[in-house]
Amino acid sequence: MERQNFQSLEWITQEMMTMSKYIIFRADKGQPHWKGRKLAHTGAGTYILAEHFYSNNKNPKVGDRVTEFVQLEEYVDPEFPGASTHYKKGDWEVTHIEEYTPEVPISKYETVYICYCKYLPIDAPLKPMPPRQISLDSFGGDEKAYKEYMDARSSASVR
Amino acid sequence: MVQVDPKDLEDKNTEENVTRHSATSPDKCEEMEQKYGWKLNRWEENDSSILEVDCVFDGEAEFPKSRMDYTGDDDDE
Repeated sequence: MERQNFQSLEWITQEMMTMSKYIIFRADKGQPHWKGRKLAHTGAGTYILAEHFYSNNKNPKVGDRVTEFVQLEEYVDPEFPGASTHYKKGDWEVTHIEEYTPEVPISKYETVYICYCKYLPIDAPLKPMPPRQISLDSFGGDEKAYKEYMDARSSASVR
Repeated sequence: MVQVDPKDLEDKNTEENVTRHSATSPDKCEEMEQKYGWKLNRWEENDSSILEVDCVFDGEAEFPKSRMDYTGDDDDE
């Protein structure tokens, strides 16, 4: 019985260690640029500007800005035609934050933050997206799939 | 009145950069975020055939040293 309790405790501790924070950035009331801000898959209008997920000791802060991503046609990689090519510090700034913690201790997220943002445009420079990193984690730990992919890449680059 | 910790400003500066990891699905992005304690800024479809998703993390989302050793042979990128 004690062993069972110990195992439960261990499981709970492990779960809590891996719990993450869900951060929703949304436009505050009365902010402009609501036209065309839609959930692409349903067409419904939305206040949501971005969703982030943190699994570390960092929390969102007042003054944070939502990063903006763009695709510039002349920089598109034909292998990844849908990807962003550049990013910049965005025009929406966090002005206040609500923090919610679940009543049930074992939840997927330890905290949900709603970050209310105001439209405060800035002249930030565009930066090119960094190269992609590919690892075993890209395949969720599937070593076979990872190896096959890397082998195929190696063969393609030799040709 | 919000007090700004100078340490936070330092963090913020480094987090203005992003790191990109490819993945076969968005779930893999969340798995990486949880496994390594990274900050997942977004994931996006990249219209590629196998690694269909780009996971974009704030700051330097680099593998721990021991993890890098594990993939150290794959420097053919």
